[in-house]
Amino acid sequence: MESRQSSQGISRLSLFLLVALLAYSCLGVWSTSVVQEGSYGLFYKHLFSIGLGFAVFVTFSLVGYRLLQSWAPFLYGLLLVLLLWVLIMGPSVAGSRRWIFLGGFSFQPSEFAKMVLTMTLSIHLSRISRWTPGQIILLLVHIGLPCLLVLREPDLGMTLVLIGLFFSMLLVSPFSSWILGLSLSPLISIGLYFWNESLWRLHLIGAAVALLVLAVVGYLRQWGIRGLLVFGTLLLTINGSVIAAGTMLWSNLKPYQQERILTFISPNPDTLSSGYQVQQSKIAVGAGGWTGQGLFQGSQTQLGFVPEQHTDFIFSALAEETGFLGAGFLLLLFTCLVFRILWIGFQAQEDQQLYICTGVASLLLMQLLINLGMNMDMMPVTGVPLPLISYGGTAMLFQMSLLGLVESVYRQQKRPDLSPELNW
Amino acid sequence: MFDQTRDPLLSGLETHRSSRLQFRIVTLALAAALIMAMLIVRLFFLQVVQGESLREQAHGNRLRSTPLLAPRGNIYDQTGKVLASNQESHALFFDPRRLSNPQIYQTLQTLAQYLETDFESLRDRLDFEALQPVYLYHDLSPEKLALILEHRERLPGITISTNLERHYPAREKMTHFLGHMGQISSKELKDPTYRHYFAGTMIGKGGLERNYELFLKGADGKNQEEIALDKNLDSKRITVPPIPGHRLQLTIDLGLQNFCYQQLKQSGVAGSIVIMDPKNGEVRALVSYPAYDPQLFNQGLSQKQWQDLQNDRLHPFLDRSTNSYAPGSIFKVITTLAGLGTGKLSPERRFSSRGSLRVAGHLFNDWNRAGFGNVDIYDALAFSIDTVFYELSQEMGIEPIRDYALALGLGQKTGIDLPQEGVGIVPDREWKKKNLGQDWQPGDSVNASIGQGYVQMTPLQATRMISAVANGGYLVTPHLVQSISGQPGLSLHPNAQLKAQKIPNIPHEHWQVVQQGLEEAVSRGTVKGMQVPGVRVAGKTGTAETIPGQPNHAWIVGYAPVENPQYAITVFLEHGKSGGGKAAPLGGRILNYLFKRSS
Repeated sequence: MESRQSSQGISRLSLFLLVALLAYSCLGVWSTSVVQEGSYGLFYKHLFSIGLGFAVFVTFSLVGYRLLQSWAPFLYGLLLVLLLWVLIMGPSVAGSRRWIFLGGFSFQPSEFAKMVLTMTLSIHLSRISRWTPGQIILLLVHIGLPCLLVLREPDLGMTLVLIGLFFSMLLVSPFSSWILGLSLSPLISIGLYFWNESLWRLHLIGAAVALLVLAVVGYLRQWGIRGLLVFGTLLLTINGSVIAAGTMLWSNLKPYQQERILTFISPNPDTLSSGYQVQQSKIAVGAGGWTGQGLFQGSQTQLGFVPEQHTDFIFSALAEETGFLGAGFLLLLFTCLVFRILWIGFQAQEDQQLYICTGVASLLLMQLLINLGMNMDMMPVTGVPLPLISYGGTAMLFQMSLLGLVESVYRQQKRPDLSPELNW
Repeated sequence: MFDQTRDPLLSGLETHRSSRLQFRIVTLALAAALIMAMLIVRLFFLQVVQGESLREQAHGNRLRSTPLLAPRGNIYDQTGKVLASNQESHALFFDPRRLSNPQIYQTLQTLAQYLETDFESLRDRLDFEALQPVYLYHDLSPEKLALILEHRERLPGITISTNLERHYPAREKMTHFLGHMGQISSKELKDPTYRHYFAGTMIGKGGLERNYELFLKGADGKNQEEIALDKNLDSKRITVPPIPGHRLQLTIDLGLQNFCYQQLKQSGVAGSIVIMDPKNGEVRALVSYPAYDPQLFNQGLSQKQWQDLQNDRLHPFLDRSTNSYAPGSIFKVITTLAGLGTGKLSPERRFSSRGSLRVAGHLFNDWNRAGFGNVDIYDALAFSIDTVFYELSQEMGIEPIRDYALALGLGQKTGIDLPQEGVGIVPDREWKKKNLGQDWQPGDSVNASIGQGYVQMTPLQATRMISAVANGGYLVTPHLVQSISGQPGLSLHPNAQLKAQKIPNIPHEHWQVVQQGLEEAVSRGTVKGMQVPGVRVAGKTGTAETIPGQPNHAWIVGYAPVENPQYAITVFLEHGKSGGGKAAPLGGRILNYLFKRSS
């Protein structure tokens, strides 16, 4: 058991990580708004959302996940209503409907979805005692409904993040490894296909040869691996046929149908590949060198060569001005945060704790990978902000609420008796 | 469901410590470690390994460089009248560096609307590797310029650069030798001559614009600005001033050129007129009709304009002054000199002209079937009596004719300072064997002796040939550029060293025979149409048969005044029917204009 302060309030490590990350965030927003554009408006708004976010964090960690989970059905219903609302009434911005505007506030329901689904999925998974087909269908409906609505906005990036959240939680559940493998491997296969077609072909051939060798050796040595062989063959067939069927279907589509699908996947009529933006962001990151150009001294940042730098491309500003020492330390802080959350999860005393921590950690990881990847020219440009750092109230609020949930799990583990009772 | 009754700690251990789940949790942790490690390695790679070069690119972004275009050198005629100068025009550049992709897309869409072009053609000009402003559109009309200036806030990243564009006051009247401007092609960009050029530059295409490109071009300067981060500080500026191109002074006489073009145009057929100083090869007029407006190329020809010009039956792009045609009787100058040189012909020799001559079983007619009776070489030149030259060709064979043709500059380039010229044909046995695979026939020599059959020459070659007759045996090199001057007081005379070459082995008396024959042709023969009151003129007509069914080519060559030749003239009318009937009066009008003007 740790010291009294940590068990009663927020743990020192969490506090340190949060304050350090939010300090980076303030630095980045200050540099890209106040210094670059000369106006304080954005920065004050950002401070406000940080304050609000911190309040939400403290509230969630003190109230505790157990109390919150009794609200889960209500929150899930609210989520569906908001997602429907944005589809029907939301204004179309750059070809998609993602925002709700209320008075002076704007709000993105898909950010809300991350928090709500982390909670509801953790409850749902922890309550499954037997994995019947009915249960699985219920689970698919649970994740599928909001995913379809988000996809309809359309927001493919966020949909993939939500599906990723679901699978990461499934990964730590007692759900059958075989089925999990069967359903995950086509995704990996498709990714590989789009990344490098010949590599995809090579991996299929390699797997087939390995399977054949295994079958022959297994037969000679009389290993009882018939199940493994059947599974492997099934896996191979599915992987191969997904791509084959896909390409065949695609080539049979009329050009206007193909067009329709393409505009659905990428609603911005943006055919300019990764474009100047990523190129400029990469230059900004690289120009930082070891020690950076100096705070508020980055030429790429201060002369505005990277568009949207206070939101999605804030990392390029921090990297340019603080260099590898600064940006590397930022990545180190994120690594610590991710592993702290996973560590809390590993020490779970009940299933739900593990699910919550896994969900929050994998959400964080996916967003880091997508956002930093596009800042460093490894990923396509999708509108995913850098968690805890980018300017943007909705994302900040719900990221803090997720961290608050994890903190409440931690507090629960330290002092089970301190948390409020389930049925209040 | 989580069992409430059991100890939560124990339950957790039971659930998670099962080996299968433990493996999965470790997998998750490994994936997390892998992702974070990958991101840190990428960061290290960009900032430390590639840092140096990316920092340089960032510095390059801070430099804003605007080119200061060097004005292209003007071109003047011999008296200083402007033949080519520069006028302001406007071009569009696009700097996409501070724009997001949707902004770039929208700007180009809007721009495409204003310019009435398609979006793809604009988008294709973007280059994602080279982060610098790209050239988008050339030569805005005043209306489009106004439209774009008016909607400037809707077009972020668009800058308008003012450019100098070539202006030719005489338009099509001298387009063939002046040439025109056009965008440098990708093929030309690879040529080491153009190594200092970049895509989108306008360069001289054809004619003097191309031949003297490196003099005319000058050197572009630049206005470079290093933007300071601190808005209160002035940015560093470096200015490299442009060096204007050199001016060319031509030997061309603008008034004469215009007059010749008008005359040719009025004749109604395609053709060429060349007027040259026979003593030194300075070209006074070089006309080819029909022609095209060289300024069309500044704007870029539309597909339709290009098609129309290409499909024009009269081929306006063809420079007829340096294209090869059958010369007809003007070639008799060569046959006469060959006859004299081989001793087969003397001024005293008499010929009997009966209207035709039978050679190797074929009957070759004279243009005058009645014949001229008892004649000498002066009569033969004056009245262009074919049978005299038939006879001479049978006595000499083709070889002396070939040798004298080559000696007078036929079958080779004249060396004029233009990028392209035809060489004509001086046929002999080997030529026919090589090109047609046939043996030489006696009839071929007969045809060649009067400039028919395989013989071809360009109007420019004809002028050079007649200049040699005029100046008594000197081969000159035709040229257009008098001087090239850069800074005041410094000028270059690139063609001054081109001395007239004495043609060897032709004695003075032989030239006198030809000179007298040609003068008699004007005074009492077929070239009467070229007479000028009070001026001694010499000349020779040519009427060359072409494709069966088509009118003959009409030629005259001549010079004046005979005692001190100032002008050598060639008039060539493609399918102009008759040298004496059509070309000679035209030549006469030009000579009359020239001598009336000077008196």
